Amino acid sequence: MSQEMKPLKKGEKIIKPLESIIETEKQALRIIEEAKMQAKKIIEEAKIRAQNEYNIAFQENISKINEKISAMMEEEKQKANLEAKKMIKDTEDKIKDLREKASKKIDETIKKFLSIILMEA
Amino acid sequence: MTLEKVMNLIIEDAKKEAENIIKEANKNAEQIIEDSKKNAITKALEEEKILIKRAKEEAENIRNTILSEARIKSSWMIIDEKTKIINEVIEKTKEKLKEFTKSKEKYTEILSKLIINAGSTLGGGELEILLNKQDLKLPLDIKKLEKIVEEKTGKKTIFKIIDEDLQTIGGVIVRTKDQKIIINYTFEGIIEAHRRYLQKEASKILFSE
Repeated sequence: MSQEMKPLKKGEKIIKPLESIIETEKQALRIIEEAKMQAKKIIEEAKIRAQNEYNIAFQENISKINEKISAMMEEEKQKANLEAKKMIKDTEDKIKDLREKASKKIDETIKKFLSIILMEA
Repeated sequence: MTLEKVMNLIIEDAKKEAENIIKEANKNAEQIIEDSKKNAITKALEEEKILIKRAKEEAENIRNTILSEARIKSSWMIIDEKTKIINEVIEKTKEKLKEFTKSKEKYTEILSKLIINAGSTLGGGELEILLNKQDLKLPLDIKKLEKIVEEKTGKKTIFKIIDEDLQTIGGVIVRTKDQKIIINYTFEGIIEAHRRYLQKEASKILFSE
């Protein structure tokens, strides 16, 4: 409803246009209020999303770290196993050497045994 | 300006303000999410330090366990081998003793001495002698042995040879008549009685550098 802003004549009532403006102001406030509520909702949703994003990002990083740790542990285990294998191999060589050296002294040992056993007589 | 225009202006302003509010909210929301992601990474990095430290300790424990087991296994391998070698020597000694029992004169002399020692240890008296089948045929001078034991113990001694099919490579078992005291001077018995000493002596000879 369009109304020309004409100068008011003496005594003319100004109530009607003022009412319209007040109504419009109220409408404007409602728009802003609605926007504020929507903004609040956006922030609330963002907080929820942020928590989810946090969990996802944290888990992703932790998974990467765990993979790194698993690889590190496996590497250390393999290194230790290799060392252990070498140790056993060295022992096998040592045993061969031990047997070889001992085989040269078997007759001497038998003599010693015989002397101990026959000493009972 | 018409009233309608004023009213439109008011609504337009409100809409613009509302738009700004939403825009600002969206911007803040993005920032919140972005910050959250950054926090997650920071927290994960902090966690990484703790996890790595723990993993290193665990890896060290695993390493120590593996190497410790290998060391124990190595030690047992050496002990097993030494035991095997000593047992082989004992078996070879038994073979030698078996051969020795065929040298009748020398063996009879040793057997006689074993009987005298056992008889003396038992204090003389009525004693029983157990030999293997082969040794029962040996020309043992029992009367002479009785006399020697009597001289040593001061007690009248009578040896009685018992045929119980003693399973031994050589040597003798002497026991009292009531079988309460037995002296096992078979070669196997002597070896068993001296096993620890034999092992010790063998180690000294076989495994010393």
